[in-house]
Amino acid sequence: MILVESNPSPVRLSDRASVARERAQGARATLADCQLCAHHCGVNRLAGEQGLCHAGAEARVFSAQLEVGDELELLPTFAIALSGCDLRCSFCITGAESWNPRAGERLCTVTLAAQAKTAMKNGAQTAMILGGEPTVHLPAVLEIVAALPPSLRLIWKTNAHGTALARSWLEGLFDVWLADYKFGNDHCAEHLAGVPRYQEVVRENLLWASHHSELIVRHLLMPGHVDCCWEPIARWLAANLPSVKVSLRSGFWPAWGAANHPELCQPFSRTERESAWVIAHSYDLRLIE
Amino acid sequence: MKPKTEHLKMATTGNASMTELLIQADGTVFAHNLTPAMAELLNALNPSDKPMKQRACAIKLQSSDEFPART
Repeated sequence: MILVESNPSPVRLSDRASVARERAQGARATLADCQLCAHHCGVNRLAGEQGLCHAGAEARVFSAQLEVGDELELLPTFAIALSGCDLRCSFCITGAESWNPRAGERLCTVTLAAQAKTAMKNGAQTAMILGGEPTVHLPAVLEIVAALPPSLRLIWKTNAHGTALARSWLEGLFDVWLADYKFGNDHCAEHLAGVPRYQEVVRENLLWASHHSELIVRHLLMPGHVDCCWEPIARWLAANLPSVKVSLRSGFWPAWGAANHPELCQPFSRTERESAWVIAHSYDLRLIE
Repeated sequence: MKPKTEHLKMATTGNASMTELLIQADGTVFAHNLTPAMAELLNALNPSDKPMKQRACAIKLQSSDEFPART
């Protein structure tokens, strides 16, 4: 069953830092029985146990810089990438960092806040927290939010595989959810990312996000997966989130373990791209660049 | 495909910024973690690439919004 809570209660901008700081303490305590992502490992990360993501109690940062490669309306953005992820996508373009939560440097919120201020001077309009998957480091994320300049719009870049608990910590803090909808069926999700019940979990997150913040749904087109993945995603979005902004990305490149899947060994073809756009237009989706 | 070397990735949390590029045999360029400087460079190499132009202009457009030209 898909639950959609109503009556969103956005945190006032002036309160964002204090609310995030307060929540960070509570969120850190829940690492003793980690239920942040839909794998529900239940491991005690505070005691050194590791679940599927292998993340410990402390977050690490593998990239923090001003970027202009994301959706135009979010640019320029100060992108903060945390190491570690709860999915195992074969084609992950940051596989070395996403699959290894010990990659990068130890998180220092003071340093990040200073970098964010410099980025703002250089034009940053937003700060984007991403990974890997930032959900697995939610306590650290809340500490980052508490430290960032309050005037920055905040973007939550996620694989949409979090739990209701994770959403409760995030509610009202981010202006935009930029959420991936990667696979259009559970078989491809299991086969390419090792994740069960993908449709149920992602759809629940997307519906929740659409009620609690601005939402952009992003889909990375994969070679050989237009009919099995993109078409059903487009159909579901048209039926359930008809006004949501959709970002269709065609820049797939065969990274990390893509070679283990014959269809993923080449970039996305022009023919498939045209076919994907025909599908998008046939469902009258609200595409953004 | 081999994972990327660690020392390259570490650079992005210090003072240096980094973009990763994949250049195909037909000349198509894919960019990941696109920085403003790299967007400007790619735009200069291929000014007819509209998406890249929009990204290269992102910083400039934002600046002109903040400081409108005097009339």
